[in-house]
Amino acid sequence: MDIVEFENVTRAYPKKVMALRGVTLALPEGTVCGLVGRNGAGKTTLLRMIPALLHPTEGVVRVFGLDPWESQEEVKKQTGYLSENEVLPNTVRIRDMTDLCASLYPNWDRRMAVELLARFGLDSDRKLGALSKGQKRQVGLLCAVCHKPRLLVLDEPAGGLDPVARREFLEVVINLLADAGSTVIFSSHILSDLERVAQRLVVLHEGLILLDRPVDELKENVCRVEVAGEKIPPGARDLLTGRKGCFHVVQKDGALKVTLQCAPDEATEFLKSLLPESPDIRAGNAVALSLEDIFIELTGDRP
Amino acid sequence: MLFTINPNDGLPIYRQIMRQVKHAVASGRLAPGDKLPSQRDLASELVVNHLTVKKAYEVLEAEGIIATERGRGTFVAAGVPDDLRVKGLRDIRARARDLADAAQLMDLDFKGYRRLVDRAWTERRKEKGERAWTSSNSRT
Repeated sequence: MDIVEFENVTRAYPKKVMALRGVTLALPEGTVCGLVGRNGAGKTTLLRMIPALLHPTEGVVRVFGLDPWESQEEVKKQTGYLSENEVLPNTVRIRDMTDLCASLYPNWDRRMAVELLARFGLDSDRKLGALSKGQKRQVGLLCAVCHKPRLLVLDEPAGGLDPVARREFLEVVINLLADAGSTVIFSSHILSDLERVAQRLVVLHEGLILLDRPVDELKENVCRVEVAGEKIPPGARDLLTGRKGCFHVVQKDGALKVTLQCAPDEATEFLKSLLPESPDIRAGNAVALSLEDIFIELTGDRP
Repeated sequence: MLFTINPNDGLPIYRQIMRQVKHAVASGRLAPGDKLPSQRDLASELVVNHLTVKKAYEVLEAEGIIATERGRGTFVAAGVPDDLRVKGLRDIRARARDLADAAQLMDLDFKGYRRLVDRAWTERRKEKGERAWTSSNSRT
């Protein structure tokens, strides 16, 4: 069963700002999906629709097969959500916050909460207002995971966390996955972290899904190659730009640099298939790319 | 054995794990019958999704390099190292060809090419804390 479904979802904000322009996405149970996109791509808008914090303008959102607005209790009970800008009441102690969560969620795991507090080095007598930004984030994460939700929605969970805290956060999510088999969707700008947990990468760009692929497949089947000056057929740059399977083309210092959707050792064959008029074309220096490189090639200089 | 993961590597994480097991077996650091960490332990050690480790182990098992015995764990299979060494050498030969291609594309002469290769060898050795080895005609 698909835990989260988006069907042609759009969202308009006042002044005709279109945050989402027709998003279709389905997450089967147990999927860990990383959502990336430049600032303003629509990530937060998309994620806020899952726990019924925002209505779609058009289209259908279903969570556990239900309408999240009509079945709010049912959906929220099984969902852990960490918002981008967690607003926690300043005058409340950490202990009050975890007690509140324990009373709200029947599955709340007190032992897990105590363990996480110790791991994060948080004293439950402290008031939330006295915590640093990163510590507040950790409290928010704790509230999102300690009821072992079937679905975890995290909006930039790493925002404001130092590298050690980020690693701790990853460990928490990874352990939760192994124990509870939860479905996870999270947005992040840190692609190296994302790669450690996500099986699937969704790139959102200006309200549309630009790419939706298994992470392993992306890393194996995207490469950058160079065609040396004298081997560049005339007009090659224009012939390649925008072609299917060709992410990015630049001509620089007399060489043509092309990012292709194929394995590095198939690059020459692939180029030939794109440019049948140039059977002599040869791809040199084929290198596999990191996810960060792929992301930049995809979204870097689009209009 | 010690595993490491590098997200900047072009290889997917499951392939990085596979490569390290294969190299360890090919070089004899892992011998037939040696036990590998459990999927769960390795996942938490590397801080990666346990399904990624599972995938690496499954492919390694399908290739006959490791074998899982129910209730006992995962072990290096018997009788693979020679074959792996041959495959490993073939892999290095293919990469050497790529490197030669790249150098020729840059119009490097053989001397310049050799200098790069020698330097890379020495630097990698140093980085790994091993005794640096320099060929007799290296200028560094």
